[in-house]
Amino acid sequence: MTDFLVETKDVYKWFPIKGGLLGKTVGYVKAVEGVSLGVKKGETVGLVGESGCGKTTVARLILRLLDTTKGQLYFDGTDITKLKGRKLKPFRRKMQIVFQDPYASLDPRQTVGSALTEPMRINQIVRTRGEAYDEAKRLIRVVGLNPDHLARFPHEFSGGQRQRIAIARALAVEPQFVMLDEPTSSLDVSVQAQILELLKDLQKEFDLTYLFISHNLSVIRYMCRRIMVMYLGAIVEEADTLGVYERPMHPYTYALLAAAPIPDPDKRKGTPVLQGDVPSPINIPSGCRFRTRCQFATSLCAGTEPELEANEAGHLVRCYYRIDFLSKTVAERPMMRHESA
Amino acid sequence: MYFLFKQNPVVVAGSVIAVGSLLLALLSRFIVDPNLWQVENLGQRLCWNNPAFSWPVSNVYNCSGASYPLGTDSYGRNVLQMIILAIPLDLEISLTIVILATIVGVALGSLAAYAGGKIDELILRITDVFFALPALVLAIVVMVVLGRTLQNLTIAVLITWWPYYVRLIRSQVLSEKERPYVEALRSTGASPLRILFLHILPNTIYPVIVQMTLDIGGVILTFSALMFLGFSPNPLLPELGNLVTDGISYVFTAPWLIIFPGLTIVIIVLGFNLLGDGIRDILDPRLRR
Amino acid sequence: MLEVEDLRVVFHTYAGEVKALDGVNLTLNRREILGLVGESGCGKSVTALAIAGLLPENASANGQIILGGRNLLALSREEMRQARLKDIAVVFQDPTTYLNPVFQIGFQITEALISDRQIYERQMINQRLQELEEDQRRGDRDSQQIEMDRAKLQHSVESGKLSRGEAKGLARQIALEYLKLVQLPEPERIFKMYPFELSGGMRQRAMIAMALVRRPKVLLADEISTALDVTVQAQILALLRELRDRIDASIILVTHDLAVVSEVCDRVAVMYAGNVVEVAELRELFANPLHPYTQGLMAAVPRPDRSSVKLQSIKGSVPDLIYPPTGCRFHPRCPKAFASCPSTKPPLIAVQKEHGVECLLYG
Repeated sequence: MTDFLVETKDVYKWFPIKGGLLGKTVGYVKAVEGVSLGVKKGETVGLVGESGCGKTTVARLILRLLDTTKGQLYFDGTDITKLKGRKLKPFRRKMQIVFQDPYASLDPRQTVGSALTEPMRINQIVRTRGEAYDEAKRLIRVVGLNPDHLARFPHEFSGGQRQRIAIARALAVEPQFVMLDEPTSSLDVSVQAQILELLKDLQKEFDLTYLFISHNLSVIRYMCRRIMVMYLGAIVEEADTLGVYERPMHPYTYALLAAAPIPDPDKRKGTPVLQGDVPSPINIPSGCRFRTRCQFATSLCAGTEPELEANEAGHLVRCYYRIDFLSKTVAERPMMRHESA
Repeated sequence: MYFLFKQNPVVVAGSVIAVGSLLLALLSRFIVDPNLWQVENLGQRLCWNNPAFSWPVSNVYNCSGASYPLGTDSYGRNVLQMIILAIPLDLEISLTIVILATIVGVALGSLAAYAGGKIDELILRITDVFFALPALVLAIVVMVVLGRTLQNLTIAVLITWWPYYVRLIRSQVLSEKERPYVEALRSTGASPLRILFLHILPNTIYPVIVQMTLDIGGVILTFSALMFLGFSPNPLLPELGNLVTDGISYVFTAPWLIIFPGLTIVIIVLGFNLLGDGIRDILDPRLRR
Repeated sequence: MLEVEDLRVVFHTYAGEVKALDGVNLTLNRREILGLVGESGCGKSVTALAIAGLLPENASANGQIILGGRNLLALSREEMRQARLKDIAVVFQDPTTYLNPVFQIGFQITEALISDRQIYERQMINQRLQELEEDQRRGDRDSQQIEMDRAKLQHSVESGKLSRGEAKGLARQIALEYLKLVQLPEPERIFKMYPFELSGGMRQRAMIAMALVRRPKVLLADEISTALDVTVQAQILALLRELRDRIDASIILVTHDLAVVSEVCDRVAVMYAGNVVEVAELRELFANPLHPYTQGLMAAVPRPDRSSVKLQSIKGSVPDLIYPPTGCRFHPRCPKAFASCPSTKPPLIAVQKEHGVECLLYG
């Protein structure tokens, strides 16, 4: 287990909903429920799901931008769940994040150079201002821009360029782990290709570990080696790329793949598999959280929620059944470990 | 941005007036002897001898001797000189109040926004209490309690004014705090103070500047009103509201006493208002982008 | 059905003249879904807005947009407004900002029908009569009921005019029909709901109903699925496919997503920097992309159904339209550019029947 660079153990995040005159807690937004994931050094792990699934919250929790309600977070073996302030700072620089919106992720009143050198100064990576500037020049070249861009302001750049700047800023503190939260979702397709290639090159050059979060199944497939599918706050399937895309086991994964349009006129979709809307994390269904939309749900599913268990080596799924989606046949899985518990 | 500035005649007019009055305020001591307001010249009370205009009022007393372009007041002082002395006084008090209110606003507003929870609630409730009390009444009460000095007048108006800034800055900081670049800064290990002063506040400064500019005029009106209501520390004090108060009793016999100081108030307040409005207009489309 | 000829749009801004559209040519046939695809800044939304007559104050448009024999660009503001009421409908990307939060959905849908009653009376009555006929034919409702409704309508026709109350009732029935058409469950309940009570997908359907209720000839859908989750997007796209068969309108679908285009469209026009650089029937375009930009775009798109070895990106970035490149606007980024490209703007060359390219490589 210690070969995970970043690890979460049974992490929960509930946001209280206040109501009434006295501000009593009337309910919870259960954004993340019992998420245990691990990212090995040098890996690119994908976290995929639709809105409300909790993937963004997981990212914030791992980076300690939010506190967990329950559960532990580990970085390189150390428990960082409760660390604060000065004790947290050395870990902060080892984990960085690149956001979705390249326009909002940079302080509009700061020059690019300043945005790059500030993290260096905060973390005392460099000794003098000159050193900081030289580093900034190096970084800006690494991401494919040139040094005279350092004096300019964010609004003078295009979306793709700003994202490059954001990546350079993340690299400025020499992190080991970079969280990529929908980094190309607001970029054009051709720019997306450039940024994805850049990210791949940087990973090799700087020995980085990535957690790639997206709702875009094509991008996830391209970038990630191992993928976790989230639904309503929990991981419902986890496997390597081919396992998820070619042999999905969870009905939700299957529905996602069935819904994702393919740029090929010969591969048009039929009737959508999943009807209705993405539910809200305030009212999570009892038992298996997916059962209200699952075409294979039975009374068993309404009881206790299934655990995330390995169906084959390295392929975990949170479902009581083994389903053949093409023929729509269902076989009951042999009950696994939790019986003996 | 300068391009937009030139395009907007409102802003140009406003800033000319505003800058003009500030300049006048700075230079006034070279134009008029600052002690003149204490000199009474009862022989020349309430007279007018500016040939350019004659008042359609009966019994306009004609001054003798020196020329008084805007007439004299009830103490025989040159109204024009009094106005020139009054402008720096008004502006000084007004700027003091506005700047102090902003400082308090920044301190409490940022604290409330950043700390959240109970501290935020506490500050909000206190602010609400002050909002609930009518400003003028509150100022009057303070004056009655503390006594009639210029300092207390400043304090009184300040007390009624700071809640607006706390609210304004709190809401600005709250919304800015959630922006992704703040999260990015937190993830690099920046301390909350650093983020607040180096990043959030500079980005939220514009609405505050607009509010300050607009309030300069408002504050002048408020303490002029207070003076008018009888809280002037010294009836001779060269303050625009005071001058107007002086002139009220002579509205039909010496209308220039109210008109010119009153007009000055209007112009200055208008100037700063236009400036503030104009700044807001310039900034708004830019923000909309 | 709709012809766009040599459409040029320039935005007059403080920073300069943005030559957003540089001679756009499009044809929209009856009952087809035309995809208008391109990246940001290519002018696809501007084209849609121009057709709808919704360009902002600082834009000037030249050229011809011919609908029903009239050039829309030559119409007065009032005439254009009428045209928008009757013939052209637009559905936008974010239903949250385009629906008024303080009015019920039903009210918003019927608003246009009721406020311009003179235009709609005849249409509403005929529409309703038609629908009643269909109901009868399909045996959906009790024929006595249908006869009663029909008699009521006939009476209104004879008495000459619809009262406001009658118009409201009629509009409501039509609205409910369309809410059903866009597959919203329990249309009567939805009619009375406010936008915030609906989910994103349902709001988008409501907007589509709002657009279709006026029986437009042209429906412009501007990135309608972009803001939606992938499962909801699949539903909306399936809905569009169905609607095309059931309503008598032509749809222009504006999107940046080639996969969406592939799902829904019959013909596709690819735009770059203010020009339509390639237009073809769907299968033909994907099987045989001719323009270097189209080829670059297709090579840059990752797919969920296969593992790509490497994504090809197009070097450079989208040009500044205040100072656009001369000649062919794509030439600075084009891997196949040659000597004449910077100086000559390529005309639309018909490489095959129904496959046109604006590229000097082909003519």
